[in-house]
Order: sequence, then structure tokens, then C-alpha cells
Amino acid sequence: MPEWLSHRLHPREGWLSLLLLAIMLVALGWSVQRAGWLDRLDFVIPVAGWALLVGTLLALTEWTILLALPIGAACGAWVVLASVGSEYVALANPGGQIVALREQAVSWLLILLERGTGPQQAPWALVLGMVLWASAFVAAFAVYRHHRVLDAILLIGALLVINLSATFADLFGYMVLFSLAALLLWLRAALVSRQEAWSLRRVNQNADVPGSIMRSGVGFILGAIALSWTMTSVAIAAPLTGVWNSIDPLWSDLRGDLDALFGNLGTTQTRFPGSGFASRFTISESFTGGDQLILRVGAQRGYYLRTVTYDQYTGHGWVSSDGIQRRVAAGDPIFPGPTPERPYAPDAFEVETITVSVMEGVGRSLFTHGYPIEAFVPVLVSESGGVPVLGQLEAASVIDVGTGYQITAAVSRATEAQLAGASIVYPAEISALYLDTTGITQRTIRLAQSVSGLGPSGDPERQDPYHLAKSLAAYLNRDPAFRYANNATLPDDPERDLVDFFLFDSRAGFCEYFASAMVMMARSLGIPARMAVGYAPGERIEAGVYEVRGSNSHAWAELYFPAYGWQVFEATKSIPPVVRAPGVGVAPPVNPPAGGGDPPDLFPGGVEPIISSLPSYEPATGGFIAGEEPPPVAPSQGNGVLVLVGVLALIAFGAWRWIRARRSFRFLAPADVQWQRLALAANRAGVSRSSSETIYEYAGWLEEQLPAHRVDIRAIADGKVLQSYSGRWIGAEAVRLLEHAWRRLQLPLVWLAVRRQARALLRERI
Amino acid sequence: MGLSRQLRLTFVVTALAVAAFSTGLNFLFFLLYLVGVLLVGAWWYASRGLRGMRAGYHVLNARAQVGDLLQAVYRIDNDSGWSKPWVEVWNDSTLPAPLPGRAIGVVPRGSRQWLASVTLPRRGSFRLGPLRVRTGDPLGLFSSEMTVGQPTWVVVFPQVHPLPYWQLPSAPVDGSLPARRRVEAMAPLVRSVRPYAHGDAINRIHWLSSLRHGELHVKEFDPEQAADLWILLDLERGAHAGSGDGASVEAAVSVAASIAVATLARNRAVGLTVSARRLHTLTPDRGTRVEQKILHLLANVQADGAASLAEVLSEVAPQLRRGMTLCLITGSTQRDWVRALASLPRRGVGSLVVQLDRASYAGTADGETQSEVGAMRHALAEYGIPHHLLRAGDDISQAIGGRERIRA
Repeated sequence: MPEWLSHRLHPREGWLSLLLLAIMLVALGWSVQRAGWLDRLDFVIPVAGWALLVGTLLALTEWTILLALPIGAACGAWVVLASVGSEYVALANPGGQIVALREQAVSWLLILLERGTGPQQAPWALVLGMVLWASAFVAAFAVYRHHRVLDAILLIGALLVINLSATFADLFGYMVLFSLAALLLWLRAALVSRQEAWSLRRVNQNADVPGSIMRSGVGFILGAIALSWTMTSVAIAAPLTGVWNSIDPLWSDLRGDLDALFGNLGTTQTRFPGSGFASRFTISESFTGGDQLILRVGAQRGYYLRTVTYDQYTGHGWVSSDGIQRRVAAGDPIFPGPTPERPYAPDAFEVETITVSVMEGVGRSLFTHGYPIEAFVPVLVSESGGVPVLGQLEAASVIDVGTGYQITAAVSRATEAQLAGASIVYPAEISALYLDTTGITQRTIRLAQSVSGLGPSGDPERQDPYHLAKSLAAYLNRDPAFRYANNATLPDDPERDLVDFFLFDSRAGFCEYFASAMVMMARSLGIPARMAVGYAPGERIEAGVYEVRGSNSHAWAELYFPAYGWQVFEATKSIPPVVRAPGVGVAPPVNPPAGGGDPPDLFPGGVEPIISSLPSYEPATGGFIAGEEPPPVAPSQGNGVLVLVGVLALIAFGAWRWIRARRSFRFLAPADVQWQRLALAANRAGVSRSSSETIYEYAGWLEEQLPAHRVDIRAIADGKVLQSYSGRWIGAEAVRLLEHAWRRLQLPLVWLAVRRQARALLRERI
Repeated sequence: MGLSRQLRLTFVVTALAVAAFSTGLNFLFFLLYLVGVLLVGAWWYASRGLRGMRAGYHVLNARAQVGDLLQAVYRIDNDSGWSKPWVEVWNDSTLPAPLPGRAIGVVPRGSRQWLASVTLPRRGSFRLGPLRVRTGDPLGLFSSEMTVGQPTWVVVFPQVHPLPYWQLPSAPVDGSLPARRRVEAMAPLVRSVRPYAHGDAINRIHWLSSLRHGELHVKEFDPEQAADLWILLDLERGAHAGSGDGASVEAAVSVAASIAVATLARNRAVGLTVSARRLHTLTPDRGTRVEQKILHLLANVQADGAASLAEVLSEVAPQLRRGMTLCLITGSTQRDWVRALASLPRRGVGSLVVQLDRASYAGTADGETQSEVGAMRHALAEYGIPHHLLRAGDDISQAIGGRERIRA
């Protein structure tokens, strides 16, 4: 068999390494699929598999990297486009699929640049496919061309860690599978390296040695994984969580930017509080809720649990205007100062403290019913547009599964009569944020007017904002022209306004469509309205206990009524509308407190709110049980702990290296010490001494590498020769000269190491 | 572990620890524990790897010739109750081709023994370092090593070629030929008696034979049986050429060794002078001990002399006794030493020259160099000095000890 063929059929790493790489990539692919970032992810495994194959074959060809990389990229482009196209484009013709993908990508990019992420998922699929292709290709190339197994493991491992970090889905098993494959790959690579070294040094190996090493290695790895798994299940802590509090504003800004970019990714399992409940989102073309239990709520009745509200409509989605974010300690008022959201109509609300237990990861998202008064866990309040209105409510720390929080809120009990009599003089802050109708089409306005009956032709007794809104909600909720659908149709023209498209063309969609239409139509009638997201009322399990599932994830419209606050208007078809007590007639409007003074006490007469609890409820980090004393606040350690840990680690490492070096020189004669230092430093620079070289021969070669330091090198060599062969002990003066010579050589040797390393890297790449 | 790998691992472990303790994520803790267990476990595995191990080796032939096999027997014992999946056993050495090491597994309370051999391609003295035994963890993170025993020296003698037809040229010693003047030297061995011829010394008369035969008979001596051989190996730097195993110095040393061994085998005394960087002299003697001394000296000399052959001859000549034969091995084509050599027969010292064609060893043989060699041979022939010519690639046994001889 020709040598070139033999070399390719029997690569140095063997085909077992390919199998182990494949297992690692399969673990990564499965974890991505399980995380559910996109609706369709079947292309992940085939793309990774093809990349592994192409990378391996190109690595074995020994073609220069300037040729192999473009070929790999071309193959990758073809495979990714074909895989994603076959899954995301309903065309059989590959050419048509590519054209359709290109159009989707262009429109997505345009929307991204103008107003936030677009609704299409195919561009994200392309990006994911390219990342997977590149990673698998580079990993295979690193192993089979450069024999750098650790780099391949770190690359794939980093992607897996990022994926696991970004989702709450239980992907621990994939990490174990990956670890097992990675360690076996490392074991195999270590054996191959060892065998090569033996071959170079003419060390023969017995036939049983490789098998013996592999067996002992496999046992060692399995034991290590089992022990680590056991330790993980019994010992986990997060004492450094508080250290990061001081960088929370930076992290929140970053999360906000990430939300803007990734807001369209549909999973609710993400660890980034945003995707699903982000500060901005784009209305997607499908909704997948899932049946998993998310929250268990202790409450008197089922509430709409809100976490984020949106004031700006982009034509394709919603944005919660940037504002300030402030931290509120557990037990403190969420709005300590005046806010137009606070209800002040007497007998129109009741205050209840509900208990929420998190059953599946929700990140920092905090869900509240009604107007939040206080939370019994540290929270971050985002105020939209810089005014004291609730934009987003989050916990200060991630709420661990199994823990929860309690929150006290004022829930509206306003009757229809009261709402119908509400004032139409809105606070300036509310008008500025929640009456914006930018982008709304004229026919939407006309439809709103005709549906609500606004105008001389309508019922004069139903011209108040409440009845107008109720008509709008009824129209959307009950008109047979509209249809609830988990998969909606998007307009072909990406510039088309989505509400207009929904109202006049598609007439089918899920909660986001109905709620958006409701909000914009209400605003067109001059009623302040906002979009709210969170969870619809869950299923009552027993008295006082409700279970909220993934399918309860919901978006709805909230309309503002002075003195009564925000009121929920359910417009989504297939969900029962909100029922209010009718009341008597039309109540007179409730005026705001005279002179801008404090509104009536939320707890008149010292009455405590109703507390609805849960059995075996455990407060989240920093939280406490309502009615009990708050725990003492641990002093913030700041970032000093992190810095200290890093510095200590570096010092410990440096000390260990220094002690090791010192120990190895302890018993050497003075001239030998300098010679050993020189030899070690030169060895690190890749200029090592061969066993058959004499001292002067080696020194001569070193002088060629560092011609400017011939004198110093020769001095150390002379000292070594004198020390070793003359039988005399060199004097203190000579020792001092040698030490000076060594000091002058230290930096040039470091520079030599850097130069040689850089040259070697360049040679390797080319 | 290399420094870069240590730094990378340190960075990864620190980042993992900070991330795990900051987030409490189970998979980060799993990774952290896994890395910790692997590092600690590998270190423990490696540090315990040589517990209960004993090892040793001995060289079977510390003295050998070029082309022979150097053989060493290694043994390793495992006294512990744990098997050793692999231990690596080797010696560092200055041998041109080192003794092969071995990677071997040892069962609990077991031992392994094996023979290692390597061909010795070059003469010289080589250091065989102490035995080194190493093992490590399966992942290659840590290793432990032990050193056993002391260094050993291996001396590789130059190759000795058989010279079956080697004849030592005779010295012009009295007793073998009639002479007109009184000769005082006496050869120790009487070969036969012959009738008296005019010019024979009176003290050579063998009276018993004379009485028996009724006429004067004289004793006849065997100068060849009596003659010592003095080898002068010219290692002046300029007299040699070539490099490696094909250099003229190797041929010269091999010729000297072959001649010395062949002569000593015939119970002759052999002395040696080598004009290397220093002048090494071994006075003539017989026996295996002097053979070892000669071969030991020849094993270590190099063509690094600075003195010319004429100078060396002038230093050696006074040590030559009547009846000795001087065997000169040189690559020099300078003719200044020929006259000095030619004066030796008057002192009763025979001579023989082994001339090396230096240019052929350097691969630069051309007309000019050949004419130099030719001129040298002509000069030697003029003085009646027997000589052999050795070119690169010639079989020494044939060239020196073959039936065909170049006669003076």
C-alpha cells in the first residue's frame, strides 16, 4: 500500500478519536435541540456530522491551510444552506430554498437595523448552523492536523457551557456524556503522544502496554466522573453571588442589548431574563407554550401575573422604553414616591400578598398581580421612559427552582360603573408613554371607531373609555372572522404593519396579535393602553393554590383608568374575557388627592393585607416570609473578593513554580545553578541541549541564537566547565560575575522564546 | 506539564471556580469537581506509581569492538500489591546509538527481565548513565521518576581485521648475513649454524658444531623472532581527511590495531606511539595486558595532532633499539620524514610504511593528489622501505595482510 494512502487510512490519532469527537458534538447538538432556541433544530446534528467529516478529511490531506480552509468554508456554506433550507423553506427546489433564505436574511437584517430583531427564525438557524459547522470543522482540524486535542475539547466544551448557562433546561446529562467522551479522547491522545516520544527515544514498548494504559485510564476516568457526579449532587453553593451586585447596572444594560438581539428566540427556558419576557420583543410567527409546570401560586383567585410592560409599538413588536432601574430591598415599597399607577379610588381594590413558588427556571423575572406595593425579596424595578411607571419587575438574584417569593399588590375590584365613570384627564406621564399611535394605519383607526361605536352614530351611553374598550375587546374576542392559531402568517412585505395585516388580512394569530391590536385600537380612541406579558391565570388545584404552566404564557392589553390604575382587557380569542361586577349606573370620577398630596393609605385603618401562602414555601436568596423579620443584610463584599481570589491564585501559582525551581537548584554548586538556569530558560525558548552535546558546543549554539550576549553565555559555560572538571571551587567574585551574567540574559531569553513561538505558530498556520 | 499547559489549566480552573461559586449552577460544579478530582487523582496516581519498585541492570560486555553488540540485562521488580500498567526504563548515554529502553507493565509482586542490545558503530569511550525508571498517570498530567545505580563506562575498541598473511619485515640484525665489520649486537635466538664465512664475528663461532664437522661453523640468528614492533601512528591533523566512519583516521587506527593484535598474537613485543594532540607512547611489551592497553589508547585518539611526522620521528627514533621494526602509519605526503626513516636500517631498525591515500578518503582524488602519492611511493622505494598503500574502501585484511605484498 502506498505510504500516502496508509497514512490517511491509519492516521496518528486513529479512528477512535473521530468517534469520540462525534460523541462530543452529538452531546452539544442534542443540548442545543433540547434547549429549544428555535422551533426547528433538526439540522444541528447533520451539520455537525458533516463538518466533522469534512474537517477530518481535509486535515488528513495535508493541503496547505490556505487551500483547506476555503474548501471547508465552501462545503460548510453548501451544507448549512441545504440543511436549514430544507427545514425552514417549504420548497423542494434547493435553488429556491437558497433564494428564499437570502430574502429572509435580508429582511431580517433590515428589521434588525431599524427597529429590533425580526420575526424570522431562519437567519438564526443559519447563524447557528455556521457556528456549529465552524466549531466542528476546527475541532476536527485541530485534532487530525495539529494534534491539539485539548483545543478541540475546550472549543466544543465552551459552546456546551454557554448553551447550558443560557437555559434552565436540564441538560446536565449532556455535560456528563461530553465529559466522558472528552476525557477518553484526551486519554487516547496522551497515549499516542507517549508512544511517539518512546519511538523517538528508542524505547520499545511491550504489546500489552497500550491496552494496559487504556484500561487503567478508562477506570480512572469513570471513577472521576462518578465521584464528581456524587459531589455535585451533595455540595453546591453560591457564596460569591453577592459579589456581582456592584456590576448589576452594567449587566442589566448588557442584558437589555442581548434582549434586543435575541428577543425572537422562542424558548422560555432561557437563563437570560428576556427571551420570552424581554424588554423588547418581536411578534413571532408561532407560539409554543409547553405543558411544564412553571409556577405554583398561593392566591385567593387566579391572577394575571405580569412581569414586563411595553409602551412603544414598532410595527412588528414592542419595546419597553429605557428608563432608570433601581434596586429595592426586600420589604421596602416598590414605589416609595408618587406614581400615576397607584390606585386611589376607595373600595376599588383589595390588597393581597400572594406566594409564588418557582418550579422551573424563570431567571430573575418577577410576576406580580395588580399594582405591586412591596416584595419580600430584593427586586430591581425598571421604570419606562424615566417616569415612575412599572416597565419591568425583576428579582435582584436569580430565583432558584424550588424557591420563591411573596409580593403584595393592590388588585382592582373596580366595577364597570366605576370604570365607566373614570376621569378622562390622564396624567402627563401616562399620556406621553401610552397614547403613542405612531405607525397605526388609518383603516385601523376607522375600524376601532366603528367597532367601538365611537361617534355620533354610536350609543351615547357607551362613549366612555371603558365601554369603548370593552367593545373593542369583545370584537376581537368574539368576532367569528378572527381565529386563534398558534402558527400565524406573517406579511410578505416586511415593512407591512403587523396590526393592520392581522386585522384586515390574516385575522389569525395568538395572544400577541390580539393584544397588540387591542392596544393600538384603544390608543387610537385616546385611551392609554399598554402591552403586558407574563402568565395568564393558571389552573386551580385546590383552594388557594394555582398551577401555572408553560401554556399559560400570555400577552394581554392593559388600559389606564385614572384612580383605578391599569385594567386588564382580554382580547385573545379562546380565552374568557375579564368579568367585572357591573355596579350601579355610572360612578362619578374620583379626583386625585387635592394639592398633590398623598393618596389614601393602601392599608386603611391598619388593616393588614391578605396573605396567601403555600405549604413548604422557601424564600429565594435575600427574601423572607411576609410577616416575619427580614434577615440581616450581609455586608457587600464587592468585587474585592473576586480580585483577591484571582490575585491569590496567581501568587500561589507563582510561588509553587518558584519553590519548585529553587528546590531543584538547592544542592547545586554555584556555577551549576547559573548553568541550569540558562539551560532551563533556553529549553523554554525551544533551544534545548541534546544529550551528546558538550557544554561548549551547546554554549556555542546558544551564542548563535543570542549573538549580542556571547560574553555572558561564554562566562556561564566557563564557570560550569571549571566547576565540573577542575576539581576547584570557584570563588565568590566569580559567582557574583556569573549571577550578573545570568541577570543580563534573562530578558533576552524570554524575548527569544516569544520570537521562536511566534515563528513556529506562523509556520504552523501557513 | 509544560508551562503553557499549566497556565491554561490554572486559568480554566480559576474561571470555573469563580463561575461555579457565583452562579451555583450544577454543571459548573460538576466540571469544577471533575477537574479537581482529575488533577488530584492523577498526581496521586503518578506519585504512587513507583512505590515498591526495584530495578537494576548490568552490562555484559563493557569492552567491545566496533561492530560488536553491546548487551545489557535489565530487571525490574514490583514488590507492591498493585499492578503497574506501564513503567518506562532506559539509560541516558553518550553512545552513538543508545541502548533501547523499554516500556513495560509489571503485575503485582512480579518481575520482568530482558536483554537489550545495540550495535557499536564507532570506537571511543562512552558513558552509560544510571538506570532511569519513570511512570505517570494515564492522562499524561504528572510523572514520577527514579534513578538507580551509577554510571558505567563502555569502551569500544577499533575494529581489528584479521591479517592471516601478515609478515613483519625483518630488521637488518647480524647473524643472518655475513658482515665485514665487527658487530656487537647479539640477537637472543639462534636459528641454525652454517659454515664460517670471511667476515663473521669470532664470537659467533659455534665450537661444538665446528668440532663435529671438522671446520668452523657460526651461529645464525632469527631476527624476526627476536624483533620488537614499534607502531608509529601519525595523527597529525593535516595528514588525515574525511569524516565519520569513512575518515582516514579510522582506517589508520584500525590498521594500527590490526597490526598490533596480529603481532602480539605471534608473541612479539609491540610498542606504540600516537602523535595525537599529545604524544602517547606505550613501550614494547608482550601479552594480553598490553593488547588491552594498545586498544584502549587507540579507542580514544583523534586526528588532532599538531606535530609533523618528521618531528615525531625524531623523538621516537632514539627509543628504537637494534632489531626492532618500525611500522609507520600515515597519510602524510610530505617527504621530509622519508630520509629520517631511511637512516634507520643503519641502526639495525627495520621499517614498514602503511601509506593512506588521504585524497581518496576526502573524495578529492585527482591527478595532482595521485602524483603526490606516487612520488611518495617512489621515494620510499628508492630507499628500499617496504610500504603498503591503503585507499578508501580497501579491505584492510587484503591490503595489509594479503598474499600480494608490495616489495621494496
